[in-house]
Amino acid sequence: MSPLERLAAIEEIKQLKARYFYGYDHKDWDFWRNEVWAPDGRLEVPEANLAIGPRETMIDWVIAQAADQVSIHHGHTPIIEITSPTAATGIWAMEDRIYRSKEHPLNGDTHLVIGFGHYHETYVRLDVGWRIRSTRLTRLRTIYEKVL
Amino acid sequence: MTEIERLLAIEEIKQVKAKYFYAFDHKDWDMWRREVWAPDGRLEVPEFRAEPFTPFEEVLRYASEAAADQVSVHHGHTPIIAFTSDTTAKVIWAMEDRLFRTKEHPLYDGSTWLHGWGHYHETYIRLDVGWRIQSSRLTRLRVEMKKIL
Repeated sequence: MSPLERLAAIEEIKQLKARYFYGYDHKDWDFWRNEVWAPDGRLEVPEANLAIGPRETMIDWVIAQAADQVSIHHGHTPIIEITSPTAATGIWAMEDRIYRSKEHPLNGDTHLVIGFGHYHETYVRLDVGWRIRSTRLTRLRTIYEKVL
Repeated sequence: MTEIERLLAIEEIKQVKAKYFYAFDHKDWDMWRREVWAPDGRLEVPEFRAEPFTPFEEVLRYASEAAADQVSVHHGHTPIIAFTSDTTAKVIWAMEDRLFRTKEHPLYDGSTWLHGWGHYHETYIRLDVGWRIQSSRLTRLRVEMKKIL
């Protein structure tokens, strides 16, 4: 790859992760499926003992989780390495806030989770462009606020 | 646009929005006017007023009056940038803001503190002086407001 191709790939991967956040926080699951994930996409959240794939199984799980919640996900300062013309890895710093209703709390009694951590990801370049193949979310700190 | 011109335009658009935040939070209205907005700029903040503010001098009148004695912190994240021509682009920015007001000059519901999260949906135009914001509409995922005595 030329330096120009590498810069273009890095920018595309940044905007791919931007679409991940936008699609998730707007619960636009068609957009999320079509514009973000590779068909063999896989999500791992060790704090929840979760490792789920491929894409369709994983998205069904995420849709059920997100049902009536409000979520805000922000990503920062990606470390992106293009490992071949069609493969890359990335680490994104992240902060999220998940608001749940009293009728549908998290872990039985939590209505707000504020978390800080990192996504460790792999990307693949398909005919349609760069897509997320795997993401693993690790946490530095998680704050739980209980239902009053 | 060539590929290198496209990448450069993406970087310039990111820096225009960086200047938007820097100038607003520092109340540097000359910088905001000269380096951020197109003269026909249009700002839509539905939570404050249904009709957009336009042209730029109206945007500035609203922003500088609202900002008078407030302290604001605005952060932008992960832009999605799509060019609609060589001189125009559509952009979505994730955002977070905090507004600190005084008791003498509270927000519309009497609050003195606002913490919000949402998105700017924007259009940019390339003028002779460079890329500028032509329109910006703020939508919210969540807003928390409080009275701090």
